[in-house]
Amino acid sequence: MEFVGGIAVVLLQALRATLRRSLDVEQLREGLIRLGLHSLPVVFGTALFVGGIMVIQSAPLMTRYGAHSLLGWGAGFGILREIGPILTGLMISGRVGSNNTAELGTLQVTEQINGLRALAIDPADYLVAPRVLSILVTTVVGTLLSMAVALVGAALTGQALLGVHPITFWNGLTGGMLSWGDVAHGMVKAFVFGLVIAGTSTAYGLRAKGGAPGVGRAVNESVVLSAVAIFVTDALISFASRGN
Amino acid sequence: MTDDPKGTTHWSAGPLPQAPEPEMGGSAAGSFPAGPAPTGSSPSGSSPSGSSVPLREGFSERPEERSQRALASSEIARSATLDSQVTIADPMPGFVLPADEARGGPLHTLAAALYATTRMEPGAVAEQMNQLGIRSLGFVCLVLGFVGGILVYQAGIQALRIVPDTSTIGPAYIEILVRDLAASLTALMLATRVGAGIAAEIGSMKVTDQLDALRLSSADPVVHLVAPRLVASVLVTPLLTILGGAVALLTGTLTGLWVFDISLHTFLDARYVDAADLCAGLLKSVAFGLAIPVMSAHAGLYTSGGSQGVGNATTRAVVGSSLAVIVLGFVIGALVEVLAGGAG
Repeated sequence: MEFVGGIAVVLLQALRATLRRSLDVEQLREGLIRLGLHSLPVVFGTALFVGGIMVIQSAPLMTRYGAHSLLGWGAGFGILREIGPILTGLMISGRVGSNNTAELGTLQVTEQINGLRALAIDPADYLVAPRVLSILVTTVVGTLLSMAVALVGAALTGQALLGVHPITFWNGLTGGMLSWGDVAHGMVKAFVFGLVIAGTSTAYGLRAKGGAPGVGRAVNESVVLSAVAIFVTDALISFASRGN
Repeated sequence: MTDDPKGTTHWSAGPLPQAPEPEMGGSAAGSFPAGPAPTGSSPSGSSPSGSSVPLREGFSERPEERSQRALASSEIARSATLDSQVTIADPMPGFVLPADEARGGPLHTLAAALYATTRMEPGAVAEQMNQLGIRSLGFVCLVLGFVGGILVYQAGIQALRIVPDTSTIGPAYIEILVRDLAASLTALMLATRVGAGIAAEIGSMKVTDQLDALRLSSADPVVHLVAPRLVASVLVTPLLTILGGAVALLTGTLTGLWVFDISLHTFLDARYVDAADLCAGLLKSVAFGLAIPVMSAHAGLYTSGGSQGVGNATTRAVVGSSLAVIVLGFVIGALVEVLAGGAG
């Protein structure tokens, strides 16, 4: 309950700061570059290999039924709906979320957040809102891009391993069984994961106490809880959407 | 105060005879000359950069004499029976010196940790197995249980879209669970939980100079911190994979039973699983178990710069471990696929 409450408070603070337009634009820009742009290589590298793994793992099924034309559909379905958002979410939680918790935790245990308050700077405007927005944007945009990269990885592996021509792959992908609804499904997940990662990492960073070991503990808890929350919300969204 | 310059002139002006040197090496104070010896960092200890004697009259000596004397003193150090001297004169290829940390990537850490496994304390591995394994059990089972449910649900919906036949979902699900999913997902979860833990622990020890304190007590950090975690992780990861896979199988079966009315008999059918699948799964879990502690301990050992540095090290550990898991999964999967495809 404390976990959910912490996330809710952080997200509300961020929302309020955004609606009032009182958030620090400079911090937001820096956050987008540092948390967002610099995570893209990791996300892309992961996506490329994950696309390959999808094809390798579905290879026995495809060869068993001789259904090479379905490869694009299978890989596309898995990547767009589940694997793309989950893996991007996990990587962003590992890279950006833990970094965010560590920074905020360090600021907290060294009393620098109280220092901000003493200077009449609202931490919600200066720290919370820019970070939450950066992580949210990073997760959504990163998921969208990583889906494309993962599909490229899947197509390349399909050609190398199974001899499926990329055009066959593309036809399987666009053959009518997948729609923009599947992409939207993935993007909804990415949006929720972004909220979860941003909320968890910020809340745990701000609650860190007990010196440097406390920061380590906060990072650990935040990363673990983000991962659990990603899988749980993924299950909930999947079941709630009933395959649409 | 006034004695101090006198003392220095005494040492530098008075040409030291050869005679005191063996005494120095053999006496209890001989542990001091052995201190700087391993800066040469060669495993045989054949080129120590200096002993206490050249330190005192260093400027008055020519390099040849100096190296000869250093050789002689290292011989003495080797023949001496003091334990500390023997260990230092024959340094392991690891992190005995802080200077050793400046070089090498994760492979260097891996080599050092593997070399150090022979010198571990009894009980250290059991402690780490408790720490890494038992405490991750609930986390791994929770996540894999949810994933099992989701996968069967999504697969069922898609299968019904194409052919109204749900009888192959179970066997295909079991096959992919054995081949890849159980190992990869367990490892990704461990990369997050165990990797972050190892890096935070070793990293905060590093930035608070506790690693140097260990070295001062002639306790090698690799032997005491890295090697037990490595062995424990290699032992525990396959077990966790099997348990997590069992939980995923359970939730998947229940989802199939409740949502799609697939009978237990139809669902629990392992006809697609063959030896290659089992080998791939086990090989992956062992490889992941090796990669995660190495990447994380490496990130921890190379931490620098205060508590901010610990945060960065944790990040690097989680990202590095996750990437290693994904890349290794790809490589091993492709390898097994090519080999099994060639055989069959």
